Amino acid sequence: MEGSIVHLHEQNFEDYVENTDCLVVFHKPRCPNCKVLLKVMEKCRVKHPEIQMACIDSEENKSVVEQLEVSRVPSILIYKEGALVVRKSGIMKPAELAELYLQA
Amino acid sequence: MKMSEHYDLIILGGGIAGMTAALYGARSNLRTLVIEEEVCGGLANWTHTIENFPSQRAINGMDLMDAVKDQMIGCGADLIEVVEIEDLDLKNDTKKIITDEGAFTARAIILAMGRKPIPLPIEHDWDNHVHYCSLCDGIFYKDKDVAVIGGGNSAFDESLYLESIGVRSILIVEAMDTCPAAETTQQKALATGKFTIFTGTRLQAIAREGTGAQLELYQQSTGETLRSKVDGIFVFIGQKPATELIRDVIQTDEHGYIIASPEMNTDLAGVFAAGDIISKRYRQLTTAMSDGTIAALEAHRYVCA
Repeated sequence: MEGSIVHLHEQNFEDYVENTDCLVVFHKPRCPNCKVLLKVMEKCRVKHPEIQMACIDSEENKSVVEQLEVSRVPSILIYKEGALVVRKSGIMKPAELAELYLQA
Repeated sequence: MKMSEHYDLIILGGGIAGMTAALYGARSNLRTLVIEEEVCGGLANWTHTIENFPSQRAINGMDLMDAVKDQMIGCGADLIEVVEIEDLDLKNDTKKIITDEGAFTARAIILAMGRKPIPLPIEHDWDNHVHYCSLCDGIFYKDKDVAVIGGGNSAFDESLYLESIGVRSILIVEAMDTCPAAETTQQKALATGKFTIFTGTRLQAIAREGTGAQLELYQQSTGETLRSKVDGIFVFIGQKPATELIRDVIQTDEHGYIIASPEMNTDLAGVFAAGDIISKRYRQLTTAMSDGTIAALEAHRYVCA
């Protein structure tokens, strides 16, 4: 994962999403679609450095997963002004990911 | 790597067939590029444990594919992943691939895009509970009840994984009169006491009920409709060839698989095919590797002629 993508965990998740307009991907090790989406994020980030991107391992951060009722991975959650404004699951292309964020 | 370049050999698809072809191409001094629409590994990435790969008693599919990818790159092959292929020109002597990363040309092309899972063929509004990957989403159904649609080897292998992580009950729904999965695998599943198998049965509809859903299951032999409540569905009803891009320019069979000669030639000069995408009886990692090897050796002959 590129350094520019922030790795979140239970201790900093809430603080980060409350204070940063961002796109967060819930992923899991050895999940094929998660592997694709993390690569998509890297590519999207190159073209859209203005979009703050973060990811969180759903296996290691179960309390966040339960609190947000994430029932599949990869799931994309978009936060703006501290509020969850979009949630979507599955893979998409880099341009679609950027558009999802920019339209939210 | 520049984003518009000429190669000796371009391989479309980074599954085991494509990566093996790239390994052979790069080692025979062909300037080789692999273009993968997602990430390398193909369907093997979805396999929890592979037990029929020579030299490996048991290995995770993604781990095996990562090792092959490292080896391929180490041999000098170039790779671009998460690439959208916008257009192809395969008919001229110089083949051209237009992507969102730029245009790439080559003397020879190997088509190794493999297959994609077939989606559930019924309308429903239960997307968050219909899954195609037990490795990804199975853990959310610990101590819950699921249905697995399909009774082939993949369906049973994935179901056994679900059982191993604590899913409470698994209902297998197979449309054919018998499950095509290996008998030993079926017996292993039934021995757990957590499986129910409905054969000759089709999923007709999904009706949401609370946090779960009632499945409407049509039994073909009796004409009866059964109902079963589950918390989630996993779908493994087979694969289809990823030939949408080339179906109009390359000869395919009635199911869309590429017709290739024993030397992996297609009907276009300089265009070869390998792996699950070709029309054949057996589709295994080992047979895909064989196809990839032959296609690369044949591409080398073609480029150097």
